Amino acid sequence: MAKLYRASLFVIVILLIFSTTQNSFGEKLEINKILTDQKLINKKIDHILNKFNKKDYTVSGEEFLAIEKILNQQKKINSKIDIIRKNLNNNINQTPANDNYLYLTEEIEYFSKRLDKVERKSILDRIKLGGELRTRIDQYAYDQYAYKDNLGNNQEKDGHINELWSNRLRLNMRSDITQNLIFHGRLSYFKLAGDTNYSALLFDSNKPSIPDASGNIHVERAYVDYFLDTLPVSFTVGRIPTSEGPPSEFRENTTRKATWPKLFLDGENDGIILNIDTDNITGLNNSMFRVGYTKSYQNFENYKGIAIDDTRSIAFAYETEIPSLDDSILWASFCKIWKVRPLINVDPSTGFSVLSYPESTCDVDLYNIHLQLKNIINSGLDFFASFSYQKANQSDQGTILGMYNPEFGGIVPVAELGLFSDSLSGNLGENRYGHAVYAGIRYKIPIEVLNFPKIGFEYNYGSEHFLGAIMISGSGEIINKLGVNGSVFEIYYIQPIIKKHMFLRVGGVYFDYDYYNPYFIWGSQQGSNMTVKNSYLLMDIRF
Amino acid sequence: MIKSFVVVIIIIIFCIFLIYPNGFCTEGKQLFINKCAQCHNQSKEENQKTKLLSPAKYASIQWIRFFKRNKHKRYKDIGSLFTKEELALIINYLIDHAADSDLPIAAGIR
Repeated sequence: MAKLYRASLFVIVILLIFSTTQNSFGEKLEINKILTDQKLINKKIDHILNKFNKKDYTVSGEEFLAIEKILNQQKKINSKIDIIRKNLNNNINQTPANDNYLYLTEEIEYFSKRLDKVERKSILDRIKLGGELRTRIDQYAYDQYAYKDNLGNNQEKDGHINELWSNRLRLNMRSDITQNLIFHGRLSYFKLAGDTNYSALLFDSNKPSIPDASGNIHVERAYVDYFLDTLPVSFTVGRIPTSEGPPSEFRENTTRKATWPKLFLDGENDGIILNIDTDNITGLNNSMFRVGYTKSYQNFENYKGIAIDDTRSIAFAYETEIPSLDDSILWASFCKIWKVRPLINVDPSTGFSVLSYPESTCDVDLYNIHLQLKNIINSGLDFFASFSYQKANQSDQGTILGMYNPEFGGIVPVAELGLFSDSLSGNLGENRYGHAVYAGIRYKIPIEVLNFPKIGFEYNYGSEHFLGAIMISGSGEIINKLGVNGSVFEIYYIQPIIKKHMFLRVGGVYFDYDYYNPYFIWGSQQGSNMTVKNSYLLMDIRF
Repeated sequence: MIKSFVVVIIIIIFCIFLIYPNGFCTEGKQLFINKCAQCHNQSKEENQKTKLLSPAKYASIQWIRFFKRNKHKRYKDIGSLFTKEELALIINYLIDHAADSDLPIAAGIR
């Protein structure tokens, strides 16, 4: 009996001590009262126990009642303890505070695992890399292909390339060096599948379009944007983004990837651009005034007496989004190019060689306006139209070509070539004027099951003396359609396979030449009936 | 021959356009601007309490996780403000313009 009381007393005290550490002030008062009651009971129990320990002691009726009273009090205390215990359990399992505690614990564990990886990666990754891989198969059918034979005579023949595979890899880089200094870069690899005998004259402007026979990687872009803190002005310096500009994004199924519209200038370029954000001045969204200075040819060997002038250009451009037409572009620009370099080498397989060349071919004025509308009145229809006009003031001296003459026993001069002119035609030194138009539509077909495929149609025309062959040649395609002096039609269908990451494009291009010049812009234009049919299938992977 | 080809192509595209009119809308963007921006104000002067919000705040997978784990509820329950369809459009817009989406590139554009 006595052991039972002491044991119950011990349990009660332990529970009370625990409860006093966990509960509020009101609960503490209640617990103190219970402790006081318990002390009184203890004293009474001790008193009775002392009597019980005496020999021959018999319990009186009063004492029996006293013990019963004590037991009743103890029952009440036990019931109070039960209530306290129940409250404690409720506190642990049901209060909102503990809900949050458990949720946060779970979240913290979850985040800490993820954060370790992210932190390590962010410390190590100073440059963000993105990639584009394109595998493409082309078929070409040439009708009355114009070329010059070994004797320099114009010839025509039909021909075809049934299956031309190529791979292109681009690695895009971006580094936010500081909030105001951002680096962009692009490394590019473009190669026909396997070994090939393909060759072409290479300029900076057409490098994105010419497959490299050995598959070397080259730097297509490397520039920084530096934004001033106090003014809405920035500078873009380096190998600037000037190839595959608007509206390339429609056909390429991507976002805008360069500064100038394609029909203005298209190709790789080194220079500096001053960008003035005029949003706050004009109230127009995405409006910007730009002044660009580029050097597209530098004569490093001037000190050796090789006299070729450097080619410099300066461009002024203004663009804006048309009010209430989201993502639209309205563009107007002018560019002055001084001292376009002369023809300094020719394909040896033609039998010609260069005997001499002038310091420059011409100065050129370029004008361009471009309009681009996206998702017209929420229809899924996109539209663009571009117009360029060029005026070239050329010198009256051209590149002198020679050819081996067996009778003479050496190379003799046969022709002098200037800009779309030559000595044989008697038009050397004449100024040249050219223009071009480029327009197209694209429609996003609202079929969700097919991942919203797109269908597009494009048309472009270049006049007889339009300089597209060298100035707009960064298309990334082997036949540069905007360089054609004639008409070109293209239809394409884009099938997304994995949203944002994988696309197929199938298309057909019809080139209808009015003029064709194997020396690009040098030598008189020859009328041509040549047509080329190109069909292609390509797969783009972006990551 | 070529002229006929061009005419046929334009007619085909026009027919597709007629069959599937109003195919692609910018509802997600409009909802984002009209509804989300009520709290996530784009103007610093008007409301400094709520953080400015741009789809580029998170990568697409982070946006997906944000809504899958219903994290917005911890700050404010938006269940009553949007229908399921509206929320789906907004989430689509956020994913399409997330930090890892194909960003435009041109001189002087961040």
